[in-house]
Amino acid sequence: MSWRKEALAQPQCPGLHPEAGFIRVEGLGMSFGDRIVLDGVDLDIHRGEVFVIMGPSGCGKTTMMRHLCGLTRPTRGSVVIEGQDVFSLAPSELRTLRLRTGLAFQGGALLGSLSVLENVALPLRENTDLDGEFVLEIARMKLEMVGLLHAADLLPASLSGGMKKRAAIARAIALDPEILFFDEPSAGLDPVTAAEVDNLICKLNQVFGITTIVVTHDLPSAQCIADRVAVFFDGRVAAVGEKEHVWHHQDERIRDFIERRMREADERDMDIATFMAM
Amino acid sequence: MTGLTLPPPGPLSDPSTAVFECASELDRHAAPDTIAAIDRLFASEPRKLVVDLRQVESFDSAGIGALVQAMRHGRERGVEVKLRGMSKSMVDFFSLVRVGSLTEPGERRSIDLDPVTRIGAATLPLLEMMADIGRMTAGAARSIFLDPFRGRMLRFDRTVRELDQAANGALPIVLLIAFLLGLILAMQAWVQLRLWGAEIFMADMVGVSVMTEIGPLMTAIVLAARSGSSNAAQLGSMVVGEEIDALRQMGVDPIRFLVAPKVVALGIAVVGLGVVFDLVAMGGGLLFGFGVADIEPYAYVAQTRTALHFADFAVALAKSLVFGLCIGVVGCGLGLRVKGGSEGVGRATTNSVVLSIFLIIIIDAIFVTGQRMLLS
Repeated sequence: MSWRKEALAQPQCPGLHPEAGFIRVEGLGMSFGDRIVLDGVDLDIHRGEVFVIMGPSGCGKTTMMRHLCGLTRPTRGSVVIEGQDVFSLAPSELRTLRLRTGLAFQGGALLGSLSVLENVALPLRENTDLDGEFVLEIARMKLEMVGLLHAADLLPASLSGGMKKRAAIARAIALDPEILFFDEPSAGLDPVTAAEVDNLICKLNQVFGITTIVVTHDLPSAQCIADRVAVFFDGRVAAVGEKEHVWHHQDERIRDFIERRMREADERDMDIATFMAM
Repeated sequence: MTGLTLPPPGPLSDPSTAVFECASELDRHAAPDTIAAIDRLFASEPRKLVVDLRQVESFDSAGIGALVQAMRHGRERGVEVKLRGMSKSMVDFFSLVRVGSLTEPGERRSIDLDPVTRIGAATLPLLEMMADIGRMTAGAARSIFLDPFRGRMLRFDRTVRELDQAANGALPIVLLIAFLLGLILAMQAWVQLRLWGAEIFMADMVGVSVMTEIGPLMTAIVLAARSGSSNAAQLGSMVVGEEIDALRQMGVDPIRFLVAPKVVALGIAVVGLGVVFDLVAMGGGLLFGFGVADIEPYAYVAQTRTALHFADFAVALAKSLVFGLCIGVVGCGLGLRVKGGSEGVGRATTNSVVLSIFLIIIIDAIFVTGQRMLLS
């Protein structure tokens, strides 16, 4: 059970003395063909904090998170986690690093051929030498933590959107990760279920001291869970800092985004006005 | 709703300004005529065109589209197009679209590529595909042959499940094709051989052709169409649903977990079904020989045994194994490379069948050539 010892060896003091530079992103750039998705992104994520990446759809949030997880290679720049450059690691080192992280995908990404319980048990089965029955016991415990034990034997296809997200969270925390990533955790959920998921994210952060990185465009959710926030526009970081600092940022685009102002509608009114004959 | 204030319609005095007055209905029926009429006005090369909309009582998207198209045509010809006398509802409609974006190409931040880079960009996907499939083959080979010595056995449960889906699922169609092909081959041989009273040699023809070529080839083609494509579609869907990324993120190697069992199962399935195909096809030949050509079953079997050699059988088995592994690798490789959602899954499925059958024929040619060179 070496993974468990490693997990316990990490500082478990949630959010009290966040350690700066735990995850450092330097000059990260990414393009698909001739379309630039990320353009020289610099970030510094502290240990034990809830760091929320916000921005309008298509601004590069999810791509940013895939880079933080090492799932996508950048065109340039680096992601350094505790002094280890994610993209310079050998495959075995990257695998070891990934075992310290968990990722709850937007759509759940549960394996359709396995039951919910088997999905949660999978990372334990594949990465530990724990006894099969004990693995299922741990998996049940994780499902209970997210309030989904009653659905343990169901297949993912028969779960609702909120249940899929909670099952994905249970799977993401199966190996007691130090870093937890959430991709749009409240997207597509009703307000009550979204609040439940937010509450779960906060609880996991507070109880286990997990460094939590959340990608979302849900403002109430971000306001509820974030310690610090980065706002992305067009693949660039427009603002980053403490939640209160970003919420009161003077940049007009950020104000529009946070106050949910429809700048485009105004622009369109102006646009047609230029085509009117006086 | 928009807060825009409508300008009052005023008189037009500039002689270089053309005016087009829209009729009371600006809808999909009137749109083509409106576009054509405005284009005719552009032919007189005015400096400015004013589209007067005061008469318009009803309009729809096509009608507004006609105005947008007129504005774009005007911009292309250097004519300033202005709209005059728009109703409030028409202004509201325009507040939903950005006319400036529709009438000129949007500004994009883009990377300028030089010609050499463009050639590279065109060639790279092919090389990347070959490299990906090569890497995946190496990974699968490592999982199948090396990992068991490192204490990481192949997932037995998954391999059995894959074998069940590949072999059991394909068994009925393989049996049917084998039996019918055996009958057909025997019939074709009999038609020729009876001219010389050599009907008994149809047992040789059916036995040798089925065991050395038709059995392995037909079985492999059936499994390429059935299981290879299914693997490509399944893995492609998993890529689209981020399930493969989820496995990687959990520290689970998708090659070891998903691909290796599928490749091993297909290798076993093609070998096993190939042997079944041979036996059933020879059975079909025997039935035809007994029923139509009056050849005693005992004589047919004895003649078949004299025609077949163990070396041919061994080569056929080896060939079937390579066919199966090839189908597994191609299907899984293309499935894992899926990009572009459901369309990409469809493309990978089709390509897996085409590429598998192509490679099967190439491998067969290599085997036959090698075998003949060794014998001579």
